[in-house]
Amino acid sequence: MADHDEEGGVNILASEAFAKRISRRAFMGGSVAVAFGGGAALLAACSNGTSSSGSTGGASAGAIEDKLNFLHWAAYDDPKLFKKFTQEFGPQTTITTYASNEDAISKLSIAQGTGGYDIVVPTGPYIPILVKNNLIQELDLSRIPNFKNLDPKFRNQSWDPNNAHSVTKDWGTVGWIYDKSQISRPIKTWSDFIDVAMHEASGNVSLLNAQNEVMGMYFWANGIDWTTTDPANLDAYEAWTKEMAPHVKSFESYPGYQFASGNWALSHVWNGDARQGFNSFKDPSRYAWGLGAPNTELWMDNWTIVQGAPHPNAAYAFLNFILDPKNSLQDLEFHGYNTGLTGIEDAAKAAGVTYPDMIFFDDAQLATMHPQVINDAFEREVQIFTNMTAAAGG
Amino acid sequence: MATVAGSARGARKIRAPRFALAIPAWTWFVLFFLVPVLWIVYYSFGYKPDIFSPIATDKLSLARYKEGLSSSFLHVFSQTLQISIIGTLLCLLIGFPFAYWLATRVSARWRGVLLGLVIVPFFVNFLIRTVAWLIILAPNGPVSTLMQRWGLRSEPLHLLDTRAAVQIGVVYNYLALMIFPLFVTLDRLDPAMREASKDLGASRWGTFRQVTLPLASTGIIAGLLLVFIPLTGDYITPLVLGGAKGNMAGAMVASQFVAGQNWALGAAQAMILIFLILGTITVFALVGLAIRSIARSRRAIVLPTAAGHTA
Repeated sequence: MADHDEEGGVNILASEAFAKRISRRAFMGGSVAVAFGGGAALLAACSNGTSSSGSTGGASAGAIEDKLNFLHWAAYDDPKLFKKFTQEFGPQTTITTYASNEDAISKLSIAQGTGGYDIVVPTGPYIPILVKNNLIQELDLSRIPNFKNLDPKFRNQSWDPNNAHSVTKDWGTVGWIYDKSQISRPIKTWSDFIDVAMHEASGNVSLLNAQNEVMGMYFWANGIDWTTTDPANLDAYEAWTKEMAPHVKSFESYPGYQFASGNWALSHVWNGDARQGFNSFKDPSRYAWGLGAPNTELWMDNWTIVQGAPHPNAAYAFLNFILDPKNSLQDLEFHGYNTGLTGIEDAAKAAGVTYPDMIFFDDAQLATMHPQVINDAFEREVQIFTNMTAAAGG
Repeated sequence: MATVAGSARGARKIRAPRFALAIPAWTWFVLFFLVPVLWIVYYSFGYKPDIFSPIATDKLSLARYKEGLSSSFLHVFSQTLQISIIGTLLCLLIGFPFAYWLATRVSARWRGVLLGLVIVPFFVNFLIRTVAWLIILAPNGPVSTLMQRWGLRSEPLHLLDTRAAVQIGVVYNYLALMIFPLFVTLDRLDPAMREASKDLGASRWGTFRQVTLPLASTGIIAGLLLVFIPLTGDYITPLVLGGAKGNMAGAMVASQFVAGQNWALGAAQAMILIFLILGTITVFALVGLAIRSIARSRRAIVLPTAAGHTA
């Protein structure tokens, strides 16, 4: 799910295409902000938090403010859409990025509503924690008329009944991508993935830099429910991470678009990023994409409005803007994830979107996808993964 | 004293205290260096109370230091030290001949141009300079392709995401910091010193060893410190070029703070890194002092005493 380790402050200081390339490689929020032009970026980053003064709060409709501040995964929307939004509605958009849901939550909880952020995009299972800690606002859906465009299948999710606090941004899943010139046998399941990773692809494998995804791989390969809290299962997973670690070349959240560099023979990848890889390949027939099997993940990222947002009217305007079918389709073509609007699949296919089979999945495939659950095992899971990344360097 | 100074400069109406000139620097250091470091020291004794809180300090202990030095992290520290010592020495080995050549063999007119060329990469941001190596070293990148075309390699070069890639990256990123202080000291050396040494019959190597090198020692020490300290704490280079294998302590600390949201452990590891840097410098300084005193005692020439003269 969404450890979209990226950094987007770069947009200000580099050309778009270049910023995108850089940001995807840098997997720590802040690294780029600090590295990019030092002082200027730093000061810009500082002022992000302080420039917005006073909170009008509440959900009362009114004039659209002149700014809109996102706390967002980086390079996750078509930059042209932000420009279009500014042209149509006026607010200048600023994006501060985070590397993981945990990172976003602590940024919000430290600021306690004074961070100046308007919109944050958490993954589903994290929403109850945000609500419980009073970090996001209740939504007034009457102010988002385009909410009607969202397919009822993607409304009213278990983590946010009646969309009281969130609106689906997009959803995706996880699988793998490999170079057929280096791996001759087909990879059909997570067990195949692990076996190939430990043999012919050993030392040329990347895993997602996201603990839940690596854990999912092991549990799905072994027929165990990935929401397990059984200590015996977690012990077995921990033992496996030690076995797997030496074969791993990189923990990389965005291997897809850079897969053509030839750095890996096999990569663990989110579908949207894999599709961006295929869009960049000169010879796509040399590579293969596989959806995780026999089971895999379904993650959903969601638009929410931050508690104490200084620009709530602009935030509502943006949510309504992005749920417009035309804008949604443009965004989908950029990031390669299903935005969940009614009829978006047909619209995308009619528009000739590339690799639709990597964006849209049939019912049989959907039946194999399961969301993450944050439970008592979470802390242990994070610990196991931290140790695995350290062990991979050994 | 104050009154004397006062009357001597009686014409002046406003007198700032003597330390006034240092106030901006001190304010900056105290506010933006000392206070944050003390904060980190304080945090390093804390703990992570739950998943979504990065730090708590209601119970203070040394447990994070023990955790920070556990086996899985210890090898990252040892790898960091290896990369930084090798990297610093490589910078010296590559930088010294260049600085020497620049200071002694190049005409003054070209010296500025060449020194400017050394600075040029600094106009490009550190991160971008490092990311450029991603393109250069990629298995399907130019170096790999050329090596294969020229028959130097039969298969693509797999250098990215290894310790070797980090080693190359840090030398590249910090080389200029070695060249500048070396050039400045070597440039200031009076050529007459070397000529005198030659006139007195010293070989070229002897002149270098006994005249140039000792006189350049301040520049060498400055260069070593300027390179070693930031290189040891570097986290961008390992992050971009190191992959899973080329991890360094700086990147590990950053990941504890950002991805792990464990500020207590990150702070303890940051402190361990500081101690590691100070400890290494101390050891090398002691070794350097020992070598110097041995060299001095061996080189010492006992002059005839005054008593000997009169006799």
